[in-house]
Amino acid sequence: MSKAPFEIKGLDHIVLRVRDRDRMVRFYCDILGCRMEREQAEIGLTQVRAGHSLIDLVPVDGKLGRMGGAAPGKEGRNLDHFCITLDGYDEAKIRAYLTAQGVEIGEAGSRYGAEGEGPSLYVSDPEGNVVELKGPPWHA
Amino acid sequence: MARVTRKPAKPARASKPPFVLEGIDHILVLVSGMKPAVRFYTEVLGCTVEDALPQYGMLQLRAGAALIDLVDIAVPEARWAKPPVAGGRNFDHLCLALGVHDEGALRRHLARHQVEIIEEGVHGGSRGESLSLYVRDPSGNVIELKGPPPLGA
Repeated sequence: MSKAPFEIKGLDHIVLRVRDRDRMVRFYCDILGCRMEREQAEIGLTQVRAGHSLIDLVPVDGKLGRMGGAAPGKEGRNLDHFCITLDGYDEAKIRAYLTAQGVEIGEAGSRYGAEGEGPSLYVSDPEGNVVELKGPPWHA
Repeated sequence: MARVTRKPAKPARASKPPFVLEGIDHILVLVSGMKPAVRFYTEVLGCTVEDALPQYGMLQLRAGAALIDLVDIAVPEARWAKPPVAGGRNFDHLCLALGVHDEGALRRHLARHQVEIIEEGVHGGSRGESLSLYVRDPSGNVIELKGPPPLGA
């Protein structure tokens, strides 16, 4: 079988289908610290930067979102979760901060990621997507 | 005695997160049927198998600096991930950052694997504007294949 004529560098971005754009922007920017990168209201696309990646928010009732069919059901999903790498991981501080922001924190643990095994915890965004926040590997 | 009245806690909008985001580390994509999914992600996209976790119905694939974890919701071991409602899509697509490549060779490669390009165009990504080709994995998840911006752009 022929080899792929390209090399994958990594994940460039992920596009989330959202119901409430403003609420999601507040979560990803104000709470998680993403930066607003680009807004294209006419097609219904908000892009926020998470380090070297982007997270795109596409309201399901916008031009792009409507092309994707019906809104995700409350329990329907094709993504279990996604994980963002953090530079700096002080679990106590992160917990205190997220709690003050009213973010529900799920299980913390030591988990395997692209850079190896390291500390992480799960949070839910306002629309129920699970976001894993992961620190550097134990043996960096 | 003066009573200290506490203001109701308001969202600490001004406080800054005690961390800096570096980027997307990995993503767990739900698939239905591991065999066709693995074929697609390894043979077509060139991911390599990093670890198998059959007890969770999971396979971890290396995609450059990131991981793509496939979770086969068709097997009982992945019942932990199986959504109660089928067919829902909380992510529209994910985009893979490709290194410099020959666009013609990429198109021929996809055609040889009978992978249809469902959409294409010059779109913005985390590295800037460049050509994107959109394809579907065997479970219908949309994958955007995106090279670096052209030199001098």
